[in-house]
Amino acid sequence: MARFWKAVRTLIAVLAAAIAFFPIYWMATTSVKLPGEWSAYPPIWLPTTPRIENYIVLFSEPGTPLRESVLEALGRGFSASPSAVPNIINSLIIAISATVGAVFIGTLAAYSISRFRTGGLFSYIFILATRMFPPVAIAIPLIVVYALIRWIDTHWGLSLIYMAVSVAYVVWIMKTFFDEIPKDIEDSAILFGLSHVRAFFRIVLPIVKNGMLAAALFTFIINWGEYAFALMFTVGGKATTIPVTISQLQLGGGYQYGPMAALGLIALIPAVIFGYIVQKYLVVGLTMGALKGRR
Amino acid sequence: MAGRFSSLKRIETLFIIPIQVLLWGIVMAPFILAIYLSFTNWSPAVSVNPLDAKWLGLDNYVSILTNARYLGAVLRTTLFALSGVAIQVAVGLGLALLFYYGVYARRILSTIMIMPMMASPLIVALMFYIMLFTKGPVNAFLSLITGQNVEIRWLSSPELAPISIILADSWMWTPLVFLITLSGLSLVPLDQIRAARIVGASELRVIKDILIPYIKPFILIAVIIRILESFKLFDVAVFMTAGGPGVATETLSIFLYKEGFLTLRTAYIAAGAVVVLLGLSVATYFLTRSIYARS
Repeated sequence: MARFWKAVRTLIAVLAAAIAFFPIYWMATTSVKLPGEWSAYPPIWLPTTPRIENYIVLFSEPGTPLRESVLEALGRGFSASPSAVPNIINSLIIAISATVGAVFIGTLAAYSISRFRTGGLFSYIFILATRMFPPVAIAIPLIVVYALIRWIDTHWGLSLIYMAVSVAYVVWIMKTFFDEIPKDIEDSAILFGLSHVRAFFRIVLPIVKNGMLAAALFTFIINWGEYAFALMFTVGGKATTIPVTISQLQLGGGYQYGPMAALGLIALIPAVIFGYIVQKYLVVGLTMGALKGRR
Repeated sequence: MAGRFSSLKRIETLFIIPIQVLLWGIVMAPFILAIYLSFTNWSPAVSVNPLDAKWLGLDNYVSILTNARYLGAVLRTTLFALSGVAIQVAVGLGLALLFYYGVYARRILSTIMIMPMMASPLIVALMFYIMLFTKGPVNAFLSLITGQNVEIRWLSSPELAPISIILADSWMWTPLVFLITLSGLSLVPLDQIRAARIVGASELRVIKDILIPYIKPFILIAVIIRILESFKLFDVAVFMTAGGPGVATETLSIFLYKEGFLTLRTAYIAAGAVVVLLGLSVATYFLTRSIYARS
């Protein structure tokens, strides 16, 4: 009987996993289909011969022989769409620099708040509240400031915004990790002659490195896929990121579903791999506060 | 002793400065500028310099608070957020309970199940967009199992478009709730459950009276993260439906974006943004106070 119920539960779980997986599967198969198959009816559930033309469009410049070679299969509409490679690089630069910055700044702040309750409740809530502000609400005045100092459409400008809007999660996750470390650890290091700053970097930080990894994953996923700020702050195209590129892959009224799906899959893969590696620390980081008084 | 105390003072200040500079510079200063602009007739279409704008007093506030489209967007965003969170908690918790009681192939199933969490909102929007064509795979599947020709207009009917958006949003966020609640369940002390079973309690009672009360703080954390993010709902709706048909899926962020960026009634929109930010700040205060009080 117990095995019967376990089988029933497994069946429901398999169904849920199928629902979780199907959209990803559909995007992946769309990325290897030719235009006529993108919205064919009945749908082509399993493409018999995967085609790489959609990827070639993304990775080639218009006018090059490589681009010309796929136009026959994809249609003339694709002759002018620029290569997505610079935008993939933009996304990497912006998301990685913002993540590193947010984890560094947020970890320092979390330590200060965890150990000294710096600024009290108000300061902590102020930091978390910044995460809740709708991007457009901040963007309207910020774009005026950015226009004055000529930061619109720069890597640096967008990266700073991402740092500011994702740092709240770093503070949250890291504070729970610091709360777990007995204060005696720094105290004894200081007693042995280390300065407090050195004790922090040499003794405390190595203990919380899993937390930093989790915080880095969370902020990376947020920044890597961010769309609203990118849409408003990269007009001009010098710092355009992947999400904006996907939304702009249009041709004469129709969407280029194949190349969009290909770029979507390219954007999804690093996050899934990174996420798989550190998922266990992520949960610990977000929920450790809830364990207080339970052990 | 006095020397050591002052060194503690220094590190707490030193570590909190970077985050304060970042948040005041990128989030708070623009917000304060927005408050000023919201009392004027400033528009970048006339002059970017805030000093050229004419002081209007409360005019913008009076007209935004009587703007039916704005109030509709606020109400709609709240409804989307609450119904989305309800679905995500119900399904996420349900799946976590399935896994807690045991399923076959647990590792692979849970790995697949949390994949949607790693996708960015715009890519989720793309996946659902290409799945929900009237002649797309979802309708084709429904046609297969019902034996009739199903042609549901998922994205173009005003009744279904909001549901499609809530479903896409829930698809991507249910895994986070699942992950957080499952990690809570794994910590429930077994002796309590055994004792309850010995005295003959049904499994439903065990779930209702032991498991759920125990993991309440975990559910709360999941709810807070989801509410923080839900009020910003923009990417999914703007890509899938652009707020339409009509205003059926126009969330607050989309309204502010359309009016503030596309029609440039910027000061007027700043007033709308200020009202929302004040409301959200109060909400965040009460929500985060509950986590802070615990840790």
